[in-house]
Amino acid sequence: MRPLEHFLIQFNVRKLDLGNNILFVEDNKFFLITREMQNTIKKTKKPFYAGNYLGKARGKKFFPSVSLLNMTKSRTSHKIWIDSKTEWLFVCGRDLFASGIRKSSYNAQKNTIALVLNPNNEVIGFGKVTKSLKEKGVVVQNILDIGDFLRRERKKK
Amino acid sequence: MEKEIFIERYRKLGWKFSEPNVKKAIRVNTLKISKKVLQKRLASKGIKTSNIDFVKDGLFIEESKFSIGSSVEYLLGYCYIQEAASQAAAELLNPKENDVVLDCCAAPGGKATHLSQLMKNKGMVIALDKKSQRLIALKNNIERMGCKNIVVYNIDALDVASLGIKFDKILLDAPCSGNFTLESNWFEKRDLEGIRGNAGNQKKLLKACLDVLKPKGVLVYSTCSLEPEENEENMKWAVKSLNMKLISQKRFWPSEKNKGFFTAKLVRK
Repeated sequence: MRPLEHFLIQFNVRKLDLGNNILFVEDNKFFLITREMQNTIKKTKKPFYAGNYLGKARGKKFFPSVSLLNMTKSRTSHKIWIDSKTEWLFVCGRDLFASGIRKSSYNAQKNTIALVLNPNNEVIGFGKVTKSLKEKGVVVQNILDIGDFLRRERKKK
Repeated sequence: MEKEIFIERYRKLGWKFSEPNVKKAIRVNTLKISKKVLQKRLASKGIKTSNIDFVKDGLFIEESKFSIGSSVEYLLGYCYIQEAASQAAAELLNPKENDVVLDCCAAPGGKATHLSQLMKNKGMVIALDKKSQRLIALKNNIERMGCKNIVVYNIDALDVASLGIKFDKILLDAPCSGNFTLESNWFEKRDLEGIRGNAGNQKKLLKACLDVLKPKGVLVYSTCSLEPEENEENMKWAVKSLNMKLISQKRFWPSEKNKGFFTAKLVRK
């Protein structure tokens, strides 16, 4: 649980709303599962995947899933909106410059992390603020974006 | 086996051979977006779509300057690139929200994510695939599509009984010989012996599925093969040898709308 908590605290999120679900950790991969799934899993061999994937821990570092970022959306103020032209560049793995940023919902200080949202208010990834959002050069470093779904497949091939 | 011999088989089954230019199709992920809203968004990017008349959530891509797989909408999980007829299989199974459903040969996840969508992310889908390298694509698609009711196991469907689960419904999209619209030089690569071999493996899978299907449970069998040994003849065998009741079966011959597919619905007595 700790790597997940450490990750969420960076968004100022103290606790995740699990609803009626249960946190299930297998091989450092974190999932939210229902009670019915838990009962099934108890009786069977280890599943490869179960329920809602939240991310994986490697050492102290946590690598979130896009689903976890979406769950964080309503609970954090750390959000940066970008314009439609910048949206595709970000999804292709590029960092953000001041010119592509439309607004931010918090006082984005250096080394904080924030969700990156497109003009439709959809989470398309997250990044680390490297300097004031008005300065020249890269202001947000891309850490994860939804283009990763395609890149993973390409890496696999 | 000569191409002409296959063409003659198809003629006897009632289809005149042609090599259609098949339209690309997507399935709208109604877990995340409505068909109408997605159509509007795609249209604003120059992607024209039209409804598929025989499946509920499908759209044909009529015009597009770029691959839909390279769109933000695809990456957000708003759609799955899925051949039109293959969208019929999960719909035919018609899973309900509280069902426990098995998807036997699940990777890369087109039908598993469709089942999840039809069940509105409730109940449970158990998805199996024996090839571990294919599980990565399955996981990616489950995650991208926002499915939260799927449990994946890296096991052969022939060993499904080892899980000790009984299922309300089963989708067996069986590994098959495929057809000429899916693979170049298909006619040169295939022969009757191979087709019979695949039909034998499919029978084993049908038997393994029956063993874990609840009484009165429903099984949908599908292939993308055009060969009767892998389709109607296997269904006859299931009725006779497994004592199952055949509710319906349907062939989708290759056309502008689809690449060729077969579905059948069976019930355990």
